[in-house]
Amino acid sequence: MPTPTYTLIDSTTLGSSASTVTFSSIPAGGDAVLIADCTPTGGASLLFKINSDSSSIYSYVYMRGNGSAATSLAASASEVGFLGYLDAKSLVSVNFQDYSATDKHKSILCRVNTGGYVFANASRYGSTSAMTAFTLSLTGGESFAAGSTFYLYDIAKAL
Amino acid sequence: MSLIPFGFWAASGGGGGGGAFDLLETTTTSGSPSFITFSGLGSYSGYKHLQLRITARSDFGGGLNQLAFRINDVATSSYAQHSLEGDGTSVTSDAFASRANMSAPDSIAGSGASANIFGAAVVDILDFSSTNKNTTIRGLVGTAATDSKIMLFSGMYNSTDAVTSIRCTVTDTWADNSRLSLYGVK
Repeated sequence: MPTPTYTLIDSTTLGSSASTVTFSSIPAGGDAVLIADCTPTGGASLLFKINSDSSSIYSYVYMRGNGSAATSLAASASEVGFLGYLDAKSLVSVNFQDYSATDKHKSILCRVNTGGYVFANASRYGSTSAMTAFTLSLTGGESFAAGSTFYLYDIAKAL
Repeated sequence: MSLIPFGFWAASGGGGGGGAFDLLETTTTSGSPSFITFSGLGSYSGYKHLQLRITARSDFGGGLNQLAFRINDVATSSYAQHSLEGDGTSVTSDAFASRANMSAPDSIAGSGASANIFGAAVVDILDFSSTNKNTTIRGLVGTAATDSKIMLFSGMYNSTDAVTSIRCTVTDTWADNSRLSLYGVK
């Protein structure tokens, strides 16, 4: 029997600029999908932390294109996860796979479209802890502008 | 509250109706199966598109291994695809006009990766019941580990037959606790 899913967990629309956006008390589920339509106050890298964990257990690989070149970079043992670079109004889609599983590190797939770049990114949070919270932030003291929207959904994996 | 998503970019639509994006089947592997097949898909003709969401690890050695798909168990050279991939050093592109499956090589974790590391994939099979067009497939897949890869791929199954089964394979066998879920999109 098909199970309706893609259920809204939580959302926020910024009434004023904010340096971070946090989703907490995330209930157990299957895959989590974040859809953000956001604008940085200045060009900055988009970062994330899961469960407020600042251990050096984040890894990522990305590829990006800016209209003249395509480049790829990988990093490991980072204290924060990296999703992409924002330099204008941006569309961000993040898949947190099996986010409640306790037998896997958390695998994350992300797409970012921003003014000057398009990104595709695979990340990993090197912990088997279930994800119950995550925080988005920007580098360089930049903030998410007022009006930015962030929607978090759960996609069930169990019938 | 159910919304109307499509592909990687979900467009929130009218909620409350429910059933626009449904979990159809899900499997968590055990016993190292060589393939996972979703069959009888004709019974899901009330859906327009399918989406596979996968958390995967292979039992084969090495840090990264292949994830592949075969439609209707057709193993002839009926698949064409192109891909864009980054490995942390460079970005490359491949294209194949005729091959025996739709694949994302060196994209998901193998047994050489540290414990508990899995790759991830989100794959869309568009208009899967149509008998008027070849079937288009697209996917985003990747693993971040010592060996890393991010890949976008798309292509077609060169047949107008409706999709009635999808066979999912990795290099060698599926590691235990890999998870494959199939969704229908109306």
